[in-house]
Amino acid sequence: MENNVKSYRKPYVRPVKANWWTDRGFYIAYMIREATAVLAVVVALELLVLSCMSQESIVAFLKNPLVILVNILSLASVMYHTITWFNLMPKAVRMFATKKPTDTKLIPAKLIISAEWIGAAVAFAVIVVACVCLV
Amino acid sequence: MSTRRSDEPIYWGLFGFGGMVIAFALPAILTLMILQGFGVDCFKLAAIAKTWWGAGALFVIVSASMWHGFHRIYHGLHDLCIHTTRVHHYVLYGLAVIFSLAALVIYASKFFGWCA
Repeated sequence: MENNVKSYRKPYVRPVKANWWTDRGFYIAYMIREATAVLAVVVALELLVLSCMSQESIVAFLKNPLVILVNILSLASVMYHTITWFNLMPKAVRMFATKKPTDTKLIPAKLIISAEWIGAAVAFAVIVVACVCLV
Repeated sequence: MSTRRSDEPIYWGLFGFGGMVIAFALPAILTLMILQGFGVDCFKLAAIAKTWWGAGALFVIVSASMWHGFHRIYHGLHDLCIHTTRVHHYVLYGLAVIFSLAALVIYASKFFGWCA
């Protein structure tokens, strides 16, 4: 919204410190959830760099203790992302059980989350089989 | 009054897609990478990146994770009391574009055999 009238409002803006989230578990959990994005980018970059290397170099790189540590931390971070992502899915997307516009019956959240975990288990199995057997 | 539509739905869509891709693909890939680090020979990335399905899947996984991650970092800056400007926007989404294009070139060259 733009207008050319000068505003004389002087609203009070409460000062917020950058550590506002440290005094409550709920806020800390929220910040950890958002921080999982950083390790997701790291993993994507690692995968991209590894894709440019020969199999011998990839194996040698993955044997590095520091790389193993980062990978384990990344796996923990990705699992936290997965759990929170699946749990917020029914809140972000409202899925209706029927197509009638007058009927607002939603598909139960538990059903959606269960379906997501079944899908994730299938995807896990497909990727493992693809990596171990198909090449 | 400006009638320009926001470009946010595009980024939000890529963020949502990337979140799903991370949740479905990265646990298995990271597990295989860690097992390979402990000497179990199961992560044959160099061979997979040369197949059409492997190159395609890896391109989607890498670029979608990048779009998801940089979108979340961009909006997370607000929570760290950093007020974002167009500069933050161009730098963070610019990185997502650059890494996506890099992934496209790398996996295309793997698949078509332009390099080893």
